[in-house]
Amino acid sequence: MVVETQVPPFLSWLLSDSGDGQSALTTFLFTALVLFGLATMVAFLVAAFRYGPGRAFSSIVRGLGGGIVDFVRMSPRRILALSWLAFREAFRRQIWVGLVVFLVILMFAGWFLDPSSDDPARLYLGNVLNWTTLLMLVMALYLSSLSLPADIKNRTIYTIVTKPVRSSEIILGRIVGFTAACTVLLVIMAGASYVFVSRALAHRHVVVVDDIVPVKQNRQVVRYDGKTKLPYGHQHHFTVPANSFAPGIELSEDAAGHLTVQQVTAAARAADVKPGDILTAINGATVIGLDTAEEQLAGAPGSNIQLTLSRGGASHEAKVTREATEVFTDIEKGHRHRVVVRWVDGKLQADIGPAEGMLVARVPIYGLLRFRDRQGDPKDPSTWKIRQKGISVGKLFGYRSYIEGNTLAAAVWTFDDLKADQYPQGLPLDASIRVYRGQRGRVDQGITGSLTVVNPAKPTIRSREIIFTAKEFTLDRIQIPQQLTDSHGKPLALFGDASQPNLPSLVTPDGRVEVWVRCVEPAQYFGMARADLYVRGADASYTMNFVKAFFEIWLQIVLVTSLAVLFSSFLSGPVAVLLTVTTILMGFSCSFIANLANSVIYREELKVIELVRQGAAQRGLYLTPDQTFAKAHDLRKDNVDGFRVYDEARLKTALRLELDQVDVLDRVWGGGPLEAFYRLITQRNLMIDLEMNWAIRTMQFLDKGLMHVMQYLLHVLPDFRRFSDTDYLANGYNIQGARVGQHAAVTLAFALAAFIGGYFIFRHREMAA
Amino acid sequence: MAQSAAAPHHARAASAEPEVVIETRNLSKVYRDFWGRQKVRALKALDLEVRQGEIFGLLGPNGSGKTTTLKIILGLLFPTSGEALVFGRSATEVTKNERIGYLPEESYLYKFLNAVDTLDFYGRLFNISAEERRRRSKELIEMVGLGWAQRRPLKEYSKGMTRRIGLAQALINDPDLLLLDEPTSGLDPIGTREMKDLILKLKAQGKTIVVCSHQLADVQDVCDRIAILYQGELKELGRVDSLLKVRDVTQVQMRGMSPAAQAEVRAVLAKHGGEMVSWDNPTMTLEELFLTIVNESQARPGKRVIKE
Ligand SMILES: Nc1ncnc2c1ncn2[C@@H]1O[C@H](COP(=O)(O)OP(=O)(O)OP(=O)(O)O)[C@@H](O)[C@H]1O
Ligand SMILES: [Mg+2]
Repeated sequence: MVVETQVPPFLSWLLSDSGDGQSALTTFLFTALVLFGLATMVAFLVAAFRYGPGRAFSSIVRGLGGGIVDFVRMSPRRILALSWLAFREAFRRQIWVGLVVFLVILMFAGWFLDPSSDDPARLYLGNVLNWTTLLMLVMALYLSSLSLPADIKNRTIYTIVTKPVRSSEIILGRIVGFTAACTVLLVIMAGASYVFVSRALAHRHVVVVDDIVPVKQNRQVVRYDGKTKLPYGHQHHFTVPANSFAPGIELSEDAAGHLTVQQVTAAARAADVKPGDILTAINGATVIGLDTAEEQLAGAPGSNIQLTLSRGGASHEAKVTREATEVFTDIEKGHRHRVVVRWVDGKLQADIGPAEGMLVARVPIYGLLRFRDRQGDPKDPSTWKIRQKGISVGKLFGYRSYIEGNTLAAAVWTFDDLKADQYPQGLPLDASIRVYRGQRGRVDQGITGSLTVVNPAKPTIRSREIIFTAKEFTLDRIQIPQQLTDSHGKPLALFGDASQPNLPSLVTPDGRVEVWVRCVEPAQYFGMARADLYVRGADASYTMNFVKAFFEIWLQIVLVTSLAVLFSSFLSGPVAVLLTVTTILMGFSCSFIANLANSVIYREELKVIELVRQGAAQRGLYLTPDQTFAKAHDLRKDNVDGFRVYDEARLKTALRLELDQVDVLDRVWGGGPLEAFYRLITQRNLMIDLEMNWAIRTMQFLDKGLMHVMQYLLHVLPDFRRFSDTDYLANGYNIQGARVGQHAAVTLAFALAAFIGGYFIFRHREMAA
Repeated sequence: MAQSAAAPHHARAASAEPEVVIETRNLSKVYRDFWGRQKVRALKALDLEVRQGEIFGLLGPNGSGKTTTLKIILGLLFPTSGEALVFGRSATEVTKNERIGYLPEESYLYKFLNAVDTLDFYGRLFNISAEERRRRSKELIEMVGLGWAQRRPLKEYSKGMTRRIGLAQALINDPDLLLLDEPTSGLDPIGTREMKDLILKLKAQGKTIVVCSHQLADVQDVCDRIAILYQGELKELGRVDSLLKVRDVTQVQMRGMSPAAQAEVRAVLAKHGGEMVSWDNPTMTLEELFLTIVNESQARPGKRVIKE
């Protein structure tokens, strides 16, 4: 599972051109201006209809002027008073029920959450986040859309608006008050979720003596293989090298190179080793440094070792036993455990530590992905359909490109901006590579691939192939060490070595490096998308990530609250609820609506593209957009049926869209609402072409008109799905600050618009009518 | 200019005519339904003036447009034509509310708040400081006699108690203009008496008060001037004392006449008088006036000539 959406830094998103000539800020301002103009026009028309144009004009001017005054002269005390009232109303209307429901769900979560699932962390986090979002949005909706209408219906609003209260204060007070009430709930839910998830996932395994078995080679014990018991639906294995045991002392090295004993176990203490002693020799050999000392200390369990120690200037000998070692288990269900293995009374005992790596916030550093085809030639990325954005959830195959095994086909990632001091242990890579089997083989075994590190400036500098096995749906960790060799065995340095300046380095001085991935097995394929392989930066804090995810839920609450308050400023309660729900649902399906609109508006052109592509594919050709366009143009000249109708400018737009938004998989079939309805009542399949007559032409024409309107509507719809970064947290990826910033800014813009709109409507509404 | 702003009271006292507080000009209101179709013509070309310091009664049968008038004055409704000015400002301006206290027909208060919280909340809407709010709400609760129930939520209040807290709420800002819609409805006789005393007391403090009511006796007791509305039209306007005077009748009271002499006195009344106790036109009750106007209006619809 890989989550990917690249976001630019916050300020550049806000201020600089994003490719279509507009930055986020100018888009906001432009939309605001258009909306404002439209609203003023509508208000003018309504007033002119009522009172005649002269009076309408003057009242609009007065209304706008008064509006400015009403915003500038808002009083914090009144806003606070009104917020406080809304807050109290929220609790009077029993929003804590939402909390109770949530806690009950958590209590019984054990029934439907299976800790032995593939990735329990994702399951648990995903669940609590989804429940929280659902409950909170319902609560926010219920509170904010029913409140103003109820006040107007009960006429309690009379006693408010006959005070020197500005409508702006009433609207803002509601938004703030309800948001505050929901915030209290959300904070409690977040706390409960945090505790619940960490408690539910925390576990320790037990290992009994019989589970650790010695493995012999040439009648010598070389290692011990251990496994844990099964109570949590999974089992870990671990391997303890036989010569890794050390005596129970912990050493530290000071600037002068002295090794001082820091801590000792009871057994070592009994052998007269104390903290503060300075280790001078091991088995008679003088110690040199910590690394070598630790090598010398390691050995078979239960064996003895002679230490020379200096205490207060006086030297003495101590005979200690090698009693313990520390290893990690394998990774199972996304986590591993630390294992401390001890030699006690001639037997090995293992203590398993808490689960590690379950709740993490990975920081992926993505590279740029290009492909080489079977012959090893670079491929035009556009024909390979590499999408630059989007989340891979659900679209398993359309999204990835495949390379064939045992050919020169390769996926090449280019990373830049890598700095040596950030990766002292080498370059950690996370890879989740899909396998597509052209040949059966053993499904549980994985498919072998190779990974080569190449210097992009001088491609002849390349490392020896690193072999790995790719299994479906697992995240593999590949560590590229600092010291490598090339295929001839000559040493290479990853980042260059200061002590050996002649050693060729793989990372260029400006921090770029290429990683080539190939599939080794013939007739098998690897499927990859840009986000499938990345350099793993230092992990961010999981707790902070958790907070960020809940903050984003909070942003959604703010959004729903402001929208609901806006709608309830002029609609009755139930209608306001309905409209808010509709907006949220449409907001959640923004991308679908965009695809639907494009599919309807560019239906002929998309069909043409598809025909051209299909024809090419049958002959084994990939076409670039330009080639597609040229081919379509030729066919049109020949008046081939279906190519007569399209418009060239629109075809270009459609081609761009097809690369950008409407994937072949994303195309929405069946036409716009009218056509879909027609198909429904005549029971026609969505993909069937309709016989063309004037009625259907008219219908499709109207549909296109409707879809144009939809496209404009999309500009003012909040894209709720993009707001939800719960996937990031659940899958253990860090939510970038820039994303949170973007969402906060967008929320602020929507809330502000709702506030201003709500104000103008409420201000000019007759309360007692 | 600066001078008059600095000493408005002085300026008012000096001028012969007190300042106009409420003025409606040709005020009309048509209630429309959702589709903009006309439903009710609730007010027809109403011209009123309420002056500083007086108690003004707005009378009329049910549905005659009293509440509608008040709502327009408060900005809760927008006039269909004509205009309403309060303190010389348009009725739709919010800032005028700083000097207004309004007691609605029914008390539209938040039922889940208690008396103290209610007053505190409305006080905050006037931007009154915390200390001042505490002082005033204590005073007002005392004044309306709710001290014993001040911590109970309003939903537990009886009708009269709700009315009292409603009044306290209307007074939280120490208003210059009070609009009372049926202030005595739901009050017991003692409460009614107290309410009337209070209205008079507020008048003594120099406040202007507009009262809508059916309780004609109450209005008669307190009002300086009244207007009578009938189906949205102004039917009568004037000082209560002059309106109720029956001009073509003289009423004489005497004392100290023996029964025997009474017949004689009657005969010589024109020439010989005993001690004259009163020599007056009799007054009718407001109820009589009210019924006369209503009957007259029903008989002859249309604008009635108003003589003041
Ligand atoms: N919101 C409304 N929608 C439609 N018509 C209304 C509305 N409010 C009042 N009316 C109508 O306007 C007219 C005047 O109503 P208003 O409430 O002003 O009367 P009122 O003098 O206060 O009566 P009451 O003494 O019963 O309180 C009535 O005919 C009433 O039906
Ligand atoms: Mg009324």
